[in-house]
Amino acid sequence: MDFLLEAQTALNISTWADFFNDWFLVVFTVFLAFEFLRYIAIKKMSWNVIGDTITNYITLLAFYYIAIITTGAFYIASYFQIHELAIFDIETNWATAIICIILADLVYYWEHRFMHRVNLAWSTHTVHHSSPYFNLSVAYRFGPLDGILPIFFHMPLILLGFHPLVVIVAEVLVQLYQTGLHTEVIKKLPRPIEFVMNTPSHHRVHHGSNAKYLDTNYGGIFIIWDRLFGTCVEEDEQVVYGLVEPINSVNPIIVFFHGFYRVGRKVIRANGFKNKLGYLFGPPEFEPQDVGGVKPRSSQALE
Amino acid sequence: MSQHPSWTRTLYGLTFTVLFFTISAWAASHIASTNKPIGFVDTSYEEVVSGYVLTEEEYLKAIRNGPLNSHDEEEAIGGSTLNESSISASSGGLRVAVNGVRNNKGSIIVMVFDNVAAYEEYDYNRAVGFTQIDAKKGTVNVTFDNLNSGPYAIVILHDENQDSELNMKNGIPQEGYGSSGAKTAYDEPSFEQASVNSGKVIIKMFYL
Repeated sequence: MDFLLEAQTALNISTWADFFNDWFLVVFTVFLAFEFLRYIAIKKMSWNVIGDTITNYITLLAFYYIAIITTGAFYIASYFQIHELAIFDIETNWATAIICIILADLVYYWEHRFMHRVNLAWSTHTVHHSSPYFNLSVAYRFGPLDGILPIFFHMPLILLGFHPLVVIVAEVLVQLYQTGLHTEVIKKLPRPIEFVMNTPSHHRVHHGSNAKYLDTNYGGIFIIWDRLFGTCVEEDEQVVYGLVEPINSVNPIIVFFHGFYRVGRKVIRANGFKNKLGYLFGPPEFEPQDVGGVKPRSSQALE
Repeated sequence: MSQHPSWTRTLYGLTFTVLFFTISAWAASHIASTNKPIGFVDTSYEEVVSGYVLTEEEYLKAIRNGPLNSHDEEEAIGGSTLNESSISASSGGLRVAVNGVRNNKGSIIVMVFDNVAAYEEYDYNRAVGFTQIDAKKGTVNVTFDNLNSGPYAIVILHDENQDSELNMKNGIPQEGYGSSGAKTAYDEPSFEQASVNSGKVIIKMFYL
């Protein structure tokens, strides 16, 4: 247990994170092949699924280019700059890295909730939710600005005094954990696990466009935050994946930019500044008062 | 979702989050062992210094720089600013209390130097005071009646295996060591920093 308290270099910790990251990619590709075999077995295989999967990886590359190559330097530099103002002096060791991961998970809850309830952020995150399928390749379906928002939400961790590289490691691990949740193959796990951890079941609910499943289960690694803050819903009916208004396309350009297009169109067409602001910063279901206000959303017809 | 959390619920959530963050970070700032690997340098800004395999020169150089993070470490009281004798030189000799001896094995060696060269080489042949007594766990007291002025720099060693040497493995001391003026296990005070006058001096024995 003492080794948890030994001073570590942040570089050492991030090297371990890279190791896991790389190996998970290998494991998940194998698992994806298994999911495809399942599609064949239950007669759900189609060209559309294959196209959707390829598009997922294309969005991953595009996201990677935008988030890491273009802004990566700014990302890291801004962290180190702000770190100069750190409130606490926190030594880098495995114990404090674990604490950082837990805090990063709590940060992610709020960041994720923000991405679903503020149109400006939803315009990029909707890409991830736009697939009508649910398999591991969907985990890699990213939107254009998905990598930018985390910078701001994780600043508090830097300010508190965690080492910048450790914060980045924590972000990566919170994402990595969730990658494995994007599957229909794993059914509900034992109750204690389902109570604390985010699971494939919880995450299926999060991706559902059923009325009762919308805007729930925002957690990254732990579902406990959703329980605390009142956004947790259990899986009981079959999940309908995708958006309330489906995009019905596997074209990577359409998939990648449809969020910007939809929100942008609403903002531009809106009458009056107040309505434009409403579309920009309001929730996805926002409609101006004179058009009847907010309509309830669901992918299923309301009775 | 048919029922979104109310603004109140959200506010409670955010408040909880801020408190949770602050308390966790405060706790994290206190989670650190007092042991660090030898030659440790936080490498976020510099090149990786890997591992603990150092020659004795590299080790001594590394500990001279000390760790970058500061912690509340127990302070060894030594050096001319901190002992009673800085108020007035006495004629009671030099009374050294060695704290923190970890067991009863072997002997405690105390060497007193009055010149820079001998001190830096730990050359006990040129020490003005030298004694070797049985180790006792806790505190061991040694008096040099004839040492009545100063400045003196005192070096101590817990020679557990009685070979009259500070045994090292991979550059890491395997036995106890210390000196006047050393506040942490990594301090290597200069003669000036280690200087004490006659009177009572407390020195801490360090182990890694």
